[in-house]
Amino acid sequence: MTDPPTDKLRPLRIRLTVVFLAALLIGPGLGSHLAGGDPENVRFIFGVPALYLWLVFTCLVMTSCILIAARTLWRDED
Amino acid sequence: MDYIPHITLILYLVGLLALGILGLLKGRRAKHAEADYYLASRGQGVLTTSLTIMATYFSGFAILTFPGWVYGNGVPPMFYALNLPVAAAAIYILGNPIRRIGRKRGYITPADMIADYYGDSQFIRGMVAFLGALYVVPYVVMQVKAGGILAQGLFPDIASVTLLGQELTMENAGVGALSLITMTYVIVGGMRSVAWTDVLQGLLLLSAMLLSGVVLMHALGGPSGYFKEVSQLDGQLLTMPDAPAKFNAWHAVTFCAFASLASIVQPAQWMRFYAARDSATLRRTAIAFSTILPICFIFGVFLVGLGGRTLYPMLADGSLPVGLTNPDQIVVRVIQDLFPELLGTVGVILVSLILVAVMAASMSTADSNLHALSAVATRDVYHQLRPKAGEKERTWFGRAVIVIATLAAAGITYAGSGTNLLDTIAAFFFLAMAFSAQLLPITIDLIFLRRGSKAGAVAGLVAGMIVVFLFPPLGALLFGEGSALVSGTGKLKALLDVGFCGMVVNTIVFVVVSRFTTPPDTAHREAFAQDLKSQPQQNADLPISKS
Repeated sequence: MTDPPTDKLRPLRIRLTVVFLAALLIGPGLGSHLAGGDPENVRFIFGVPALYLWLVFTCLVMTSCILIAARTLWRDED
Repeated sequence: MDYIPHITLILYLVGLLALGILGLLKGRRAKHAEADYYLASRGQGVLTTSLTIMATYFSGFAILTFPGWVYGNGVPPMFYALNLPVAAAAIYILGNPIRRIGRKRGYITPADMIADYYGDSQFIRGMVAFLGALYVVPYVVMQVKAGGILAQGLFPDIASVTLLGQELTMENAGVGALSLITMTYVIVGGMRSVAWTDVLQGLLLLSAMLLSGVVLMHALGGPSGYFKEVSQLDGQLLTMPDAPAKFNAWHAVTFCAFASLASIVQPAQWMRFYAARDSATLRRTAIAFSTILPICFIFGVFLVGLGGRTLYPMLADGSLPVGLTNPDQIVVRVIQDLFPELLGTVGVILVSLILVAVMAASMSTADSNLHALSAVATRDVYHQLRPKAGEKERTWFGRAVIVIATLAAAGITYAGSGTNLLDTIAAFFFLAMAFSAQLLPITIDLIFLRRGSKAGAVAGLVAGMIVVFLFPPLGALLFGEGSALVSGTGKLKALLDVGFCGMVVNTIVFVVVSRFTTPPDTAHREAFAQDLKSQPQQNADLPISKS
């Protein structure tokens, strides 16, 4: 892979770290309570439990961060 | 069709032995016996590295316990799968510097690197080895036992077998056979055989995880039919519970963040970083880990757990329905009931394959941990006691460790069922990741910060370990079930991951003690930092070969 200059990648590195950590904290945390509703009033989106879809979304965000990092930040040095 | 499980199992076991022998043949020309036996000459490529890391990461837990949690508690336990992207990131972020300096300085075990940085103290090496053993030993014993239970599941109609005039239950026969085969291929081929068999076992495991979910969804009428059934479940199963209920958000966050990292810095995985051929291998492994595993969980076995709840609802009093004695059996129950009915002979073959895959999950964890235990015992104990021992002697000592450890594990399982010894080992097994997590503060310090001192590292490790010992089930064994201390830690355990609790204390003690003691000298720290960053020399001390 071609190595872009490290200082130019710093903002991307910070953004990816923030998004990844936010997804890790908010995904199972506050977000899961907001997305899923409460036991007497379960939320569904297109017939699918919203809590399950929220999990899929959170995982997608975290995985995307890794894929972007792997394509841009992580260099093959040898 | 009765013979299908026999044929599937025999083909699988023969395949493992064949891969073990291939590993032996490939390693015969190696110049450095120890580096070849423990690290496959540091030449493992993407396929081998990614599948051996995945297969080692998951035991039978992935395909039995995890869907069992979903069956019992609905969607909330599924959030524990978010530990997978965290582990994937750690494979590159922690794994690549470990690989780089490991190649440059010829490390083989985690203690080699840690003791080298903090000063070659026997005590810190011993502590790191002890922590590694606390992770590895219970895993070997419990996986051997799980293999026996799965053998019983594969042949439910065979109550016992007679061997040399002695009648053995199917579980004990399974323990014996699987221990013998695992021991054989680990001894003959070392890391190469373990990794190659992990490729087979990993492929079986991942296919089984995904396939079981797909077939169950098909059986319930496709995605719309599946989710229509699921929507009828109790609302408690489809919403996140508040703390301190099981699988609450706090516990999920701390588990995902720290238990995943603990599993990544345990000795067997750490050695896989040393064994990777180059940085591209670990980068691609992280990509594979972060994409394939979540798919297999979220669209595979999790759906079996949730769909299983609609097919086999729990009774009104919360007890399990007829045919299930433990929620962990849900995947096996679903596939045994549905696959033959839906797919005929193909279904019977798939059931056998999936049951063998479950067995593979246990074996792949047992073999990696046996191999790592051998490395730790040889490098961190035997070599320290007998520094003049050559590479070949050490490698043979390592093989002897594998034989003794396997026989001990099988013996404990055979003789210790229901005894205090097995219960104690099970207690250690449940806290294995919490012990391993105590390596994280020093790992992060030596890779990124390099501000801690040897005294700080030792004090932190001891403090973290003591904290983990206070939590149930170990705390209950030491201080009694009813003690106020265990009651307190039990409440904390419901809220936060145990490894995280130990690590918080570990980090505080590490930082405070390091503040008042002397860190390694500046030149040593700079040289270490340079080796963490710099590219390996072409004529490095240890050979690089393709595996």
